[in-house]
Amino acid sequence: MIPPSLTRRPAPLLPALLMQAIFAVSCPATAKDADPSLAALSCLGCHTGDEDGSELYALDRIGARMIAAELRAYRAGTRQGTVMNRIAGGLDDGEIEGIARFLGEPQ
Amino acid sequence: MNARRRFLRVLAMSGLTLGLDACVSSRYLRGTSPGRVVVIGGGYGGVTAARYLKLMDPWLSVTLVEPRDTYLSCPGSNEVIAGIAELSMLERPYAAVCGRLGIDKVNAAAIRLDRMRRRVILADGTEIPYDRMILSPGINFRWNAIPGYDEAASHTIPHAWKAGPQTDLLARQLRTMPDGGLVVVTAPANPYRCPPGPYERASLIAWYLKCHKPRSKILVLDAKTRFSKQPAFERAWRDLYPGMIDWVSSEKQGRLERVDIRNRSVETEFDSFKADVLNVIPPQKAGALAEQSGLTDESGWCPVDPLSFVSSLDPAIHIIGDACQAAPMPKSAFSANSQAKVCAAAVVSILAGERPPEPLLINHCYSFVAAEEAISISGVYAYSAAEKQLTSRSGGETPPASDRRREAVYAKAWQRNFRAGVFGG
Ligand SMILES: Cc1cc2nc3c(=O)[nH]c(=O)nc-3n(C[C@H](O)[C@H](O)[C@H](O)COP(=O)(O)OP(=O)(O)OC[C@H]3O[C@@H](n4cnc5c(N)ncnc54)[C@H](O)[C@@H]3O)c2cc1C
Repeated sequence: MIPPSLTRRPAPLLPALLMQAIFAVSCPATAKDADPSLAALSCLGCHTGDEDGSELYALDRIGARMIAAELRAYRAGTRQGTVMNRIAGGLDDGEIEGIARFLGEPQ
Repeated sequence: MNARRRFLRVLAMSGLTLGLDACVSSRYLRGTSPGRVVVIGGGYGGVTAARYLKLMDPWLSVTLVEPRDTYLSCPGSNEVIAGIAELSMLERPYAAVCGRLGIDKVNAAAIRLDRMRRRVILADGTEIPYDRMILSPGINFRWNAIPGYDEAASHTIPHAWKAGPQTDLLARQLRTMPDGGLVVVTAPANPYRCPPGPYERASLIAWYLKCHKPRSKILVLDAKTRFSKQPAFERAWRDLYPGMIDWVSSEKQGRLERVDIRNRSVETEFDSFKADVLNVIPPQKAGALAEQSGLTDESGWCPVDPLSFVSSLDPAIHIIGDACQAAPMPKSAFSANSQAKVCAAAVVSILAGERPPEPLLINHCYSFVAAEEAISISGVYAYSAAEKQLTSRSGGETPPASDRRREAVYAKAWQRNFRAGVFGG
């Protein structure tokens, strides 16, 4: 059975993101079928945790639920990072859940 | 934790290894596909692809064809030019990753492909058969696209766009130039390897000159009218190196007409500039093997379907990294790494007789503007089945007023983690 979170439609992007409008152009996601595990593998381009990268969190030590919550906060602009707002802006709810489940420590 | 244990743990924890029918699109993770995959080119694209093929399916036969024993990373090489890093810090052996993951490394260049018989031919005549091939040969230069600038000229006027002796040559020339001298950097038209790279280079050369030869100046002659992360770069130049870097758009100076190696000078349509140090970053195309094998189109790059990065010109060959056309993704090590993972999953799926999973890709690149300051650009890319192309989902770059010191901390961590994630055992 496909978890409902993987099939849910993307939420509209929140106005807080407009703060970044000039330097972070975000358009609502259109594709619904992307495999979140592939996006998760790209996340490992920074978050490998194989060497001491304490500044870039090794995601396997963070709970899946926490990762999903952080990604949603970045997307909404309620949490300000450097690059994560730009990246989270391109993910729909299902992708956020899928990525978090793939990379995070399960609960 | 080593990469394989980590990867398998990740899979186990994500629940994707069990009940895979539930997760239709992640079937590539089942890992039971018979087949021989040959990867050509041991750069960021090729090594990541070989690594992930084995992580996804340890039973697959994976051969990596690459003539060198160690790889020299271009990311980080502008720091070497500025004297912030040593070239040796950028070197990574293939032995660790290949040994640990069971990748067969062939220490030779592929000189030819027999596409009909699906064989890779080496210089000594050895033939390596493949069911699927992943090609990541990087770039080749368009010698003489700028009259006067050919391969021989690069021995005195470096491009330094492949890390190695070229990087050292440019660094040495900067060390010996007089204070008050002029450094000229020429930047090519799009597309080319590492779009923000020439401006990172100008910034870090300025950083070096400010410390050691503060009366010197830098002129960037661009074949473009704007460039990657321009507002953030220009702000950093005003803040850190006022009056030192002069960027000249092609609107002002027109084409580069000629490089004169004897005089160390360049001519544009309207002017001529004599440099103390001249760095010509020439226009580029896909690596030579791709071109010779008929895998490029009139653009000089390799057309692919980014669902699987399969060549539009050969159904058994996938092309990733700088050599492929994956616009709007820029040609970067991060892109090559993201593409390699998508491609590995696709190859495993195809060998199992299944449709590749639909990709979502990421690019994220830092540029240093000083030893301890950096800016960045990022993008998320989805697949459009209708157009068989990538489309930009979201993205952005560092705004002009930003915390560049914080980004430099991340940029250094990225370089460390990224190299370990590709070349680590
Ligand atoms: C100055 C500079 C700074 C950069 N900074 C960054 C950065 O900060 N971040 C970033 O993401 N990117 C950066 N890049 C870009 C990055 O280096 C490239 O995008 C990346 O290396 C592309 O990987 P690739 O696998 O396509 O090619 P490469 O890494 O060039 O690898 C190609 C490999 O193929 C081998 N090869 C070629 N032909 C054959 C053959 N016939 N047989 C066998 N082997 C062959 C070569 O020996 C080589 O090892 C930078 C580039 C430069 C020049």
